[in-house]
Amino acid sequence: MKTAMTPLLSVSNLQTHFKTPHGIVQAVNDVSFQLKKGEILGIVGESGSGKSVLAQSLMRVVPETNLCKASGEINFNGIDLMNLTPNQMREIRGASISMVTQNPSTSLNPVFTVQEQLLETLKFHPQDQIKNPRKRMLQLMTEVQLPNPELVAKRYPFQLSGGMKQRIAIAMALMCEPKLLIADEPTTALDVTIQAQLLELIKSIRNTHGTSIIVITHDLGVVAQLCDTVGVIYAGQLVEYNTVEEIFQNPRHPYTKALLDSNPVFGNKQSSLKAMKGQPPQLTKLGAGCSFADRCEQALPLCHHTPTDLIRLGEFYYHRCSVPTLDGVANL
Amino acid sequence: MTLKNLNLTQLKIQITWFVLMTFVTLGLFGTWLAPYDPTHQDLSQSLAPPFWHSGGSPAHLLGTAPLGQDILSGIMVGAQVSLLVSLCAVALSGLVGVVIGLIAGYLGGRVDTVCMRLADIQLSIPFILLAIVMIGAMGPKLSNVIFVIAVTNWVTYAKVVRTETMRLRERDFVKSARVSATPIGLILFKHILPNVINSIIVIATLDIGKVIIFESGLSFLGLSVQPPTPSWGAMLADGRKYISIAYWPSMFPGIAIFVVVLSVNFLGNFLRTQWDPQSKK
Amino acid sequence: MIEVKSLKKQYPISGHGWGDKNSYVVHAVDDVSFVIEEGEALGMVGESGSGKSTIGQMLLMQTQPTSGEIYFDGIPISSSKKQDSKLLVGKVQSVFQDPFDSLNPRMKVRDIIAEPMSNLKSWSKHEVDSRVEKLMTQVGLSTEHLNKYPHQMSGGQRQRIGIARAISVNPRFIVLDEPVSALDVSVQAQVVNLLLDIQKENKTTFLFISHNLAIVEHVCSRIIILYLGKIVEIIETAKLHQSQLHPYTQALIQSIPVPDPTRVKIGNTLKGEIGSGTSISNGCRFSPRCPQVQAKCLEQTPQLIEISPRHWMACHQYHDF
Repeated sequence: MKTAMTPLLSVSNLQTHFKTPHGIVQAVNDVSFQLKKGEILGIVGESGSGKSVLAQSLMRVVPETNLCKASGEINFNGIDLMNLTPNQMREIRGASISMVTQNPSTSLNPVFTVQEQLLETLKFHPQDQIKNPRKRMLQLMTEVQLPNPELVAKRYPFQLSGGMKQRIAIAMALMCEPKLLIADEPTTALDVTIQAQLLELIKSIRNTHGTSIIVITHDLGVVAQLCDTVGVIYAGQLVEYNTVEEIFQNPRHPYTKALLDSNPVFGNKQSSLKAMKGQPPQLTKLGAGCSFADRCEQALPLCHHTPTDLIRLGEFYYHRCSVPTLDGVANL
Repeated sequence: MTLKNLNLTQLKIQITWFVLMTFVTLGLFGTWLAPYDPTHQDLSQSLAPPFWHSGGSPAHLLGTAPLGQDILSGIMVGAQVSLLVSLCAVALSGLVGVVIGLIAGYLGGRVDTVCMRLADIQLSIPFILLAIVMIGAMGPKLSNVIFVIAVTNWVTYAKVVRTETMRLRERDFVKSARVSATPIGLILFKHILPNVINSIIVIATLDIGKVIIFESGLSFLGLSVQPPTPSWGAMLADGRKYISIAYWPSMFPGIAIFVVVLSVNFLGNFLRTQWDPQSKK
Repeated sequence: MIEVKSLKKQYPISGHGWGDKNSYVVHAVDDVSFVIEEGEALGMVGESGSGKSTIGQMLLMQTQPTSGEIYFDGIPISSSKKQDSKLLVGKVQSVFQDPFDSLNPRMKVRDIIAEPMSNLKSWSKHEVDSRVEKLMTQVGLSTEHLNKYPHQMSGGQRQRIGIARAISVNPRFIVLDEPVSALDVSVQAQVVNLLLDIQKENKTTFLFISHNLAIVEHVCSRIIILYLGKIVEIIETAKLHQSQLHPYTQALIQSIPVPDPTRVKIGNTLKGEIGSGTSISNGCRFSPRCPQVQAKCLEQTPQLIEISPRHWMACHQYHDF
């Protein structure tokens, strides 16, 4: 029985590992979170943290070569996506769950017009409630604030700016009225004033359509402005998951704290930034202990060899650290 | 799994080296190592089959050609011509083409236009026509053959290197070198050339086989070394008429060409991985 | 130390696509004039099409200006004359954006850092080697990496190598084009701190080009803001929060997503696209998007005027100051 409180998406212990000549890469290593209808979740991580692989894993479009482990549970609307056949998954992809990627120049096919690409989605996923695909297309194009939709529809991607292409990508993702939209670094390649417009757009989509959205980004500002809940990823693991207010005002995990401290904020000039020491780890060389231990200000000797667990405390609060926090919660 | 892979690669490398060394030795010393004088005709032994067929004998391990010449000796001595021509022609055309490509690609503008028009002119002249004219005028000496082939062949190197140079020119590390006042020659040599070497190796290894075939074509037309001096290409061409009754005059030189081209390709792959710092971890 | 007068850079392009036979001119940099003082860290901020990278390239003498003059220590320089480029050798260096691209993948780290010094021939081989080791330590890298290749190092480490290369010849002026934009957030802070240290220690003059106002605010004492090839404002960083600002600068600040969920700014964004540098009309470049646009703005291009000490603005609104 699905109630309003039942999450739309419930991910448990997701793992995606690859086998490479240099060792096994645990790109996604034990990630769990939940997403309600109409909620915007932000996944924050740096390059190499595994956040893009996480997005691919949720859509089950992870490249097959070298894949040696894909386990866990992805419960979407009551169905476990991990148990579906490729055909069943194909029906869901693009229609119930869709994705927008970082680079609008590569996500659109340069040899087809905009309308050919937008209408293609409905061709493959015909929806009963959408009787007039063309009308729907123009409607969506207006909604994503494209000027002159009739004219733009006949254009080719190379004739449009980055911001416009990204709006088209978003329109394409919305064609089938998906329940979940995954946006992988949607504004990273755009100028700052255009980024602001796109962020506003994403929020209005949630408000108008009630779509749940997962935004993957490395930009803490984007997360603060857009998201309701935040998951912080480091070296393939979810290290902290909480509401956006708690994450920014009361970060518990040392990595989250360090990330917030080292971020230069406009209007808050310091004589030197509080930088994190060291570099992000190589995913092939992870040890048994906490992957952040080398860079952690609060690391205890046991952190380097004791494996960490993701523990859930409260509706939103997940935590992964061996060191006791001020709340008194620990994993010892 | 990895251990077996490693051994396979090592094995491939060993075999390649062995094969190439054999042919280089033949190329240098073939005339002395061959059991017979390959130009010696013995009509009584015309088209004798290789020793494993009935009618064949260990005297002629790979059989004989239509006029009784020993095929094994022909291959051993012919190695000289084929390898000499292909290596020299490829080296010469490669050198010329790479230099022109680097300069045209880096300097752009008028220099580039002139070089590319030169290349276009070269491409518009049919190879055979050029060969007939040049060798007809200068004589069918090996050096002339090498020259003719090199003159035709440089264009591929030039065009490929030029395109890659144009791409590399805009990369940040080249821009940094310019800001640091690195002289142009050093930029081309230290920054651009090492990054185009991969393409050059690939083209060159494929070229060696191509040139051996070119040379055989010239030989067939009487524009290369004159018979009875053996060359693989010529042996291939000569044996064509008899394929239905005797496969060995054509097949063994063909196998020789195949083995050399394959080995050179493996060598090329090996060199590319050896020279690429990114393959070492 | 460096003076730029009426700098212009135009690129002719032919046709906007199928069937467009007209030829257009892209005004990448349109009549830009400013001064860089010795020892200062000057920031240059703008979005795509602002011309900031092109100005950097012209100051490095890698691109020839279409018109205008650049003066270094009072001496006019131009990239076409050989002797002028010789004047700058060793005095000017650069740090580029992409840590994966700014180092030759086939050269060892020690050779990469040594290159500018080898070109100048002012040091013996032995001196160059010892300087290379000192530089590695100065940028916070262990000398054990000297014989490695770039791909064996991380993005942040590569950028430090690029910085070591740039400071190796003790340049007086360094142009940094988006030096930290391609780095992870956790590493950005390290490199920014390194740049701040170098600037303070050596009193090197920086031109810090970036689209990220937050980082520019941190590093620079003065900022130039560009829009579509023209300067719209020059202001001291310290005064950024106290003064009346150009509408575009206000919009830029407004657009920066603040990492504070209690201050959600969504809802007041600047409308419209950035526009292209080809369709240049007579009025202010920013007028199509300006929330405070007046009739005058569409007809007359505003001049860059000093509206208060060391604060320049190009806007009709504030001409009455």
